[in-house]
Amino acid sequence: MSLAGRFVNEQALAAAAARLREAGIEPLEIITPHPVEQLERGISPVPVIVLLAGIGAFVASLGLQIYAASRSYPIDIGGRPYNSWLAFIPTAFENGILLAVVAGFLSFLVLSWRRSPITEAPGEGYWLAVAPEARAELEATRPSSIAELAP
Amino acid sequence: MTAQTVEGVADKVAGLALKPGVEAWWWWAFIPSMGLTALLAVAVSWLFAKGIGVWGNNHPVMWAFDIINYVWWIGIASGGTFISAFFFLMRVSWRTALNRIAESMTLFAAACAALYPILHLGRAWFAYWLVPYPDTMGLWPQFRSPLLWDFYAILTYVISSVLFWYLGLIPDFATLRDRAETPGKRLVYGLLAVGFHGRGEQWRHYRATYGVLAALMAPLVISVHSIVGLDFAGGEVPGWHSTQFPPFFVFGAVLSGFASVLLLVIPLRRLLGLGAYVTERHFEVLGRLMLTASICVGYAYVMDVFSTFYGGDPAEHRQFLDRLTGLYWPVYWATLLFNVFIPQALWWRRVRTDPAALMAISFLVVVGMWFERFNIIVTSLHRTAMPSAWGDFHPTFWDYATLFGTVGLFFSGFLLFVRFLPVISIFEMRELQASGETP
Repeated sequence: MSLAGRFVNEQALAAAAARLREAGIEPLEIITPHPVEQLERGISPVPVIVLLAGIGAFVASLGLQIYAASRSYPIDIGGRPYNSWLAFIPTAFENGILLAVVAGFLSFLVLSWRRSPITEAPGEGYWLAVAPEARAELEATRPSSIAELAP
Repeated sequence: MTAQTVEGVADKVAGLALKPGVEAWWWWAFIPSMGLTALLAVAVSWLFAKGIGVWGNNHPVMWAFDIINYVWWIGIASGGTFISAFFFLMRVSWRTALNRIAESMTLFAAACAALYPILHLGRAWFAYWLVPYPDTMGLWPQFRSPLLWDFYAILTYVISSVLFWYLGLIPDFATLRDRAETPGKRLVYGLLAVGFHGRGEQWRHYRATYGVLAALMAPLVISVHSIVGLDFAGGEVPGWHSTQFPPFFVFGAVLSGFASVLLLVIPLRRLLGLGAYVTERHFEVLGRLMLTASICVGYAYVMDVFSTFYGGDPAEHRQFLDRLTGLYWPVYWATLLFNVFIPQALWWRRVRTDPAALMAISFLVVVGMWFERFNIIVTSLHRTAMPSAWGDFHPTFWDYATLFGTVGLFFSGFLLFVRFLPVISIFEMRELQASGETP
């Protein structure tokens, strides 16, 4: 079982979280109806995954096209070079974007799927969940209401 | 902003999606749309059974309605991506009330566009030949062809638009799941919400993902329309072989895109009672954007004339004079009138804030942009460099059936969106209002 305090807005929630951390209590979970930048702890790895997927797909696509045109099936078109790599960039660019977007979306799904320390979502609003031992400290942050979450 | 107005948005928008039953106007719009979609199914079946000969396409006009409609739909689609990705990156607050409607428009317009490359192949069952797969003959697709680039561009655009749209919806699906009153709705919206509960960690990854995806969508939409322009610029046809085509196509795409957003937002605002969120300010902004795009398109039309007559190719000159005075002259002059001259009325604030005037101008622009593509494709092909290969194009019933069929498909999909999904991004409105800004 854990306790969740509800706050009227993001400022009150952020102040309560800061106060609890000062008292040495790390909130189990912070739940908001929209992203709140000042409450974020740490940097998401998604942009790096997206960058690597995009560059990887771009290079792989360019490599495949160069291989196809100059090694696997070279065609002499009026003596033009087999490896006309400039003409391969649009496809490589599109492939890079596609893989980057798909990688970004999938990594978001995987990362946000992680199990939460609390087992019941308190519902809409600005919430802060703590372990039941920290009831006094939670009350001291003056939430508008406190809910007991199911174990 | 008080807490009450913040929740006002959520109540209103979630209420629209969750309420049981449907209004009469929805059926009045949905039934004809489904009728047209059925017509599309018949037209496509007939096409697959009989071949491309059911259309008016014939030598020398081998590309006609199929490619016109494709470019037209993909252009309309761009408006939504511009609003949702570009203006997100620029942190523009007015975007929030419009982006869901605009993105949904993109989704269904891109789906309509994506049909045509398959339909126009003739032997549609060989569509997979565009993909480089290890076939037994050791052949590869022609990677140097802009037509193949286009395949990858549209593939990327459709898949990315779907994922970007869906990612934007996930927090709102969570809200709908929490508010749903029947188990069926809770199950469906719950599955769509993929376990999203607004936890701190989820928002952290969400914000990062949405930001990078927006940053990818912005160059993507430019590249897609540039590649559509290169489909033509890469061909040796008088009227096509021009280096200005990639930006020209981007200008045209955003003009029709903004016009289509207005065409959808103005009636939806009244029908769904969104007047508190979609305001005169949004009409003003979209009017200005349409005016800017119209001026850019006008510039491209002027450059079209200039580069033709600055160059010395008699075939180009002949082709252009045929545009002005030949068989299809009304199409050319209507293009100029609808896309460049009439939108100049948007210089006046009174026009930009008058829904009826905006509807009329937007409708003419959407029609005008179809005419523009008719000019580029049909008028160019029917007067190619070799006079012995001249010929006219006359559309058949099946050409029109396919065109209006995709209009039906678009509206069927869009109306289902309007009925079952939140038409305004709930969490972004909450975020905006929590930060004290007006939508």
